[in-house]
Amino acid sequence: MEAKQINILHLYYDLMNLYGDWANAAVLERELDYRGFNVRLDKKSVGDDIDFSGYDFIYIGSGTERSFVACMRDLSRFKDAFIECIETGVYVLATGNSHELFGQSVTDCDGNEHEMLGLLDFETVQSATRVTGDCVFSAKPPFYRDKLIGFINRAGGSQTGEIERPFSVEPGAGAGFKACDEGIMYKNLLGTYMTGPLLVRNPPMMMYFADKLTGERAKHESKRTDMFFEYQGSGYYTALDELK
Amino acid sequence: MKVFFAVIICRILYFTGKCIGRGSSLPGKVVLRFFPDVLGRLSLPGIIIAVTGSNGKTSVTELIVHALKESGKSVAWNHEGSNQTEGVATLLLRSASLGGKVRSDAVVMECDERYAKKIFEKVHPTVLLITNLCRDQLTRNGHHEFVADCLRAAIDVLGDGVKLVLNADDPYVSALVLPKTAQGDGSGVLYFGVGSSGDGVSPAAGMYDDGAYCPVCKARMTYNYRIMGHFGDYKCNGCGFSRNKPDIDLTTQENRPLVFMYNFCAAVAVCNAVGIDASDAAESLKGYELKGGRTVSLKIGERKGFLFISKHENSFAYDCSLSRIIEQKKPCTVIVLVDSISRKYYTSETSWLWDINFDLLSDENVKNIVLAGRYANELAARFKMSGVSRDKVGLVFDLSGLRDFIEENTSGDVYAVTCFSDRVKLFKALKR
Ligand SMILES: [Zn+2]
Repeated sequence: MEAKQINILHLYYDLMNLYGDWANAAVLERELDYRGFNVRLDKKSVGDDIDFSGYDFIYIGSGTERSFVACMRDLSRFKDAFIECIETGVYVLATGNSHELFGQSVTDCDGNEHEMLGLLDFETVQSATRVTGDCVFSAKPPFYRDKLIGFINRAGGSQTGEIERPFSVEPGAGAGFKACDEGIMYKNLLGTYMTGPLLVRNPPMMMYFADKLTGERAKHESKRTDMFFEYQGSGYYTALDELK
Repeated sequence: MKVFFAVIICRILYFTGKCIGRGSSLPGKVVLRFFPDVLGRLSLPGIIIAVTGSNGKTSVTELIVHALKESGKSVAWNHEGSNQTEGVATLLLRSASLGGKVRSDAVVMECDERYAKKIFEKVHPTVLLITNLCRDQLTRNGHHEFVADCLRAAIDVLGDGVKLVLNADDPYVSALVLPKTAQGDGSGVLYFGVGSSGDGVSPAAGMYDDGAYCPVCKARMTYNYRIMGHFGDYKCNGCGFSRNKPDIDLTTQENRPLVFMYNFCAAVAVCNAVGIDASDAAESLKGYELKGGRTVSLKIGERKGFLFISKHENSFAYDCSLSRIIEQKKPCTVIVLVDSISRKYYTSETSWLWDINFDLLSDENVKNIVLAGRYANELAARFKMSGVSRDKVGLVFDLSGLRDFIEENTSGDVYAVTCFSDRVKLFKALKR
């Protein structure tokens, strides 16, 4: 039997790629390949022709505030096609500030309002201060039973809007953020302010997406023999131990 | 009277601190708490040089001081490396007479990028050098464009009374005077650059490309040639923003590592900005070995090598060090040690490891790679996602076993890459 084909799109790979974001698409590709699937990873960015049909997973990383504005400017070319993707249930992960794209607007620290995709009912208002630090998240069902580790690196400010939030920031852990609900969730779209190689640092999150995309449950973790998975898991516990 | 007491207090605290081996920011901190405006009351020399930027601050500062001294000037500078507001306050107060006069011909102050504005509100430099803007210490700095905005605000404080010395090869630094600032008509800016070695366009080094898009308008940029990372001869396809022709370009002067060449050119440019002939300054720096150098000799039994000190949380520094290792062209073992990420603050953040171009170590001269320290697992995962052959890589979690592991399992010269925060642990582990 021929192996199933899975197509991944890493969107704005060179514009929205602060601090190791590339590894999220790469590690998922690696895991799917390990499970015996045929994987294609496409990288697209500003000015490229993009046909959104045929992708099973789309990833966008984080960028500087200026890069983010350029990202939205370019993405507006594909607004309808991209939203259509999400409505039909394609898996989309947006880490860092890129998840702000799915709201109504972003107001930058100079007071300029930028129109966003308008898929979800929230608005982001930025301030000139910067929020950075290690964090620990818990995720609400039906997502992950495990804690997630990560890093927040964003413009200060706030998000307003009554929307479903998939994550909760563990108060006091890591850099000592206050408890709050965080991120966005709609159909199979998931977004969070966490940045960096989240899927590498959090094996449960990588397994979640791999399970969904392959339609199979992973082999029981203890039966796995690949060293990568072992390093990944040990690294996760090292960081979790440091941060709690 | 204020000044008198401030100077006395600073001197006492400074010398007490020195005796008990404490840092040099405390005296300034205490004095500024009691006399917040005292720095404005000091009488300062006509040459005040501020040095800031992501990489190379400490090295360039040392070079500038050496060249100024060689030209016959006396210099006060923050040689302990305390580069925030308090450190600069300590420097000025301990160099001042009881009447508040700083008697040296020149002051050279290394300034933290994030504190530059606060420092300049108290002390106006006559020359401001900005070395480069790179990804560095995300835990403190967020990202390089945020730091650029901090520096823009710092430059605004200075008005047109300052000569800017900027890196022509770094688009983020050159864009600091756009849109046109008080200094931005060009007359108040001196550019330095390294120029092409003639090999034409080299690909963007590494895992990311901060030179892909214009810092001014975010259209795509194209490069005539790249030196390293986003340094090179760039031009924006959108707004036309492009590299300025350097006033100081010393490509052919010496056959030294690229990082040294940048520091060297920057130091010569600063000297030129204060009226020293560029060729005299260059001559006085020829062959100069940095006291605070980032390359330290190593010896394990009969095997020799170097430690290339590279700031954690700074993929640029790591990429430079890995390139240096390859340039040695000797069969070797490479140790990468990440045990505590910062000595100054608490973090477990490792995403910067994924920005480092470890593929450089695929080079055939690299026979073995030893990943060591608390974060060896994350490093191992990182290497698994690189093109480096798995057979070369060994892991050592407990540093007490590092020396034995190296003696029993590896060959060739030994090169180590780690940060200040882990340097002492490395030397301890390598000692018998
Ligand atoms: Zn431009």
